[in-house]
Amino acid sequence: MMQLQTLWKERAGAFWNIAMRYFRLIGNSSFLFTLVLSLIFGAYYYSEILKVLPESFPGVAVITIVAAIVLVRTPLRFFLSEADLVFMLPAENRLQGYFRQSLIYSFALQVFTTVVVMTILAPLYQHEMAAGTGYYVFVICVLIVLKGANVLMKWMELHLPAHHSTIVYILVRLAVTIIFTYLLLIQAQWFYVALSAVLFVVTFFLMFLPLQRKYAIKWEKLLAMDEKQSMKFYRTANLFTDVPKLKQSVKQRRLLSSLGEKLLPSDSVYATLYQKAFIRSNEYFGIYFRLWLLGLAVVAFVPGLIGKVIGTALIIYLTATQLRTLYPHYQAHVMVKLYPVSDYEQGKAFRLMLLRLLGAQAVTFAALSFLLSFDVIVFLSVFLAGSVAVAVATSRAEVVRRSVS
Amino acid sequence: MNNSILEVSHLTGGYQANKPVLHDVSLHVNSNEIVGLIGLNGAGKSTTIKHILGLLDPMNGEIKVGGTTFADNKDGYRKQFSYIPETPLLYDELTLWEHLQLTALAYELGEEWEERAEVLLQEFRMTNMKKWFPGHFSKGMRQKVMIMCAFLVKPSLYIVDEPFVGLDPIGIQSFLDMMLEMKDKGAGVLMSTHILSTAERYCDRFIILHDGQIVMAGTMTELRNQIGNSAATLDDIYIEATRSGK
Repeated sequence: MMQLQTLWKERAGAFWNIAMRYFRLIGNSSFLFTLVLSLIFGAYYYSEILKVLPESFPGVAVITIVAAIVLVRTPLRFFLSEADLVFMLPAENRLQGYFRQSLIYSFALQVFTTVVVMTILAPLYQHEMAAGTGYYVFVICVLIVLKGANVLMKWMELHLPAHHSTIVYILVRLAVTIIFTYLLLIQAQWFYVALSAVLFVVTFFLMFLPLQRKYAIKWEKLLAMDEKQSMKFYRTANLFTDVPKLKQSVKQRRLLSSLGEKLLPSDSVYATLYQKAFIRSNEYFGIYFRLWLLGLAVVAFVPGLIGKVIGTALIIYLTATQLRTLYPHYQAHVMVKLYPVSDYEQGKAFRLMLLRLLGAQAVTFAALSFLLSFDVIVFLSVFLAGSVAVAVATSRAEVVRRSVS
Repeated sequence: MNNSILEVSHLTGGYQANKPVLHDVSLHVNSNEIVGLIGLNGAGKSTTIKHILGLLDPMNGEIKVGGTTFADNKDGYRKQFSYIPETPLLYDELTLWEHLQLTALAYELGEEWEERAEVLLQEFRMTNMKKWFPGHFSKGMRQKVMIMCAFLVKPSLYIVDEPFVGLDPIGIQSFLDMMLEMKDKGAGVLMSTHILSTAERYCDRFIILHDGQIVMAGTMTELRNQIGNSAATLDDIYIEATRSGK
């Protein structure tokens, strides 16, 4: 027999059952190896960069901004189902326990992220402030409290009616979080820290708490938020295995679309489809673009030639790994299967597009390395590393092997 | 209008403050009455229903069910009606019987719900599917589950969004018969639909919504008088109303 009291536990349990299965698959794949390699690479050069960091580098400001983003960005997870819109509406008032558990769960997960990010930033902070470890641990503890407050504020914010904009609330949340965090990090006089804490508390009670009293739960917003997060999870898992639950999301992206039509091949059925899918659907373009930026940053900031070369190859290969799910994108589409187009053409179209996308990365990485150093050897090495990575990633064997796995 | 169960007055609403979907919509549903909510796709029918369910807050105006607004008394407000959505919304991991159980739990129904549930199962010919998982049924069967859950509650107001699509003819007939029975027992029904010929036969009054505004409202006779054609069908009236409403 179903009980409202145990509903949350059952649903969270069901989700984690599925999630664990995917985690096991991810653990078994070769991606983990690439990830560990990138981590070691990143850790090594992080410490190297710290050594050569100029005096004028605004380290505390950077820490403040990163911390504030981590604190203010507060996705909440409710494990709701669309059917709740029919069955749970009349029981809304009796579901307070359910929502409380969801908030505690979201808080716990985000405490983890907060601690991880702050630990990564610890060497930078020591470099900047020469404060004791004890003080930094104290800072992390206070930030955890701030995280909790942000979870509650986000929850209250979610009560706003659809036609009220939330942007003011998010900005205010961001502002009070930044002020408090910054004063804490620079070890300001306790008087100012206390003042900013008071400001935070006042905002919480006067601006946010009334929302929860005034408005009802906005089920559709919560559902949309849940959907977004579980799709994010499934999309990640989809990099390693087929995820049947993955729904496609599509964005129009007018400017990019017309740009894509010019820059990417579109002379066959699959070339056209892949080009459209790359730009409009899911996160393909976002992943590609972010890795590109990351690669440019690596080429610009990693000292030493070896680092740049390994970084270039790694980023290009990572991009290729991430884009692999695009290949079977139309696998389940019945109409496409009926077109008189051979599998060979599909593979060819995919490889051609991959070639252009990765090639663009390789060329820009090499060009940037030259512009920053005016050294032909650096340019040639980076370009060679990039070309090899592109060649390996777009080879027919590689593409086919991936589509099978 | 003292016996009106649902009373929507001057409702302006939607998702964006600068782009409301509904403009000054006023309507009511009395007990012993079936009211048809008619309009093209995108006319604002579903938005109206979401406002009534309390999923959206009005930008302007007020909605009362049984004399209370949602803000006054959340649970009390929602327990007075049951809702049949346009697409059946079911839990993959619950059996048909468990859906009925959950409905009883959510509406805090008394012990006698099980008896009523058995009768409903028989009426909709699903007794032997009690233990099946309806998430994988056909659209019509899933729709029947939604309909049974709604009728199990025996509320004073039914809010029904396009109930006929996908239902087999016997299912449609059972649904219509039960609706008439509930109406005779004092319930009110707000039904949104595109199947105008059926609506014409079963609804007592009609509200024609176009671009978020009510362009015509009344009984068949009143509507016919308004367009000056005493033999017009609901289809004729509807086409006439949306054309002149443009």
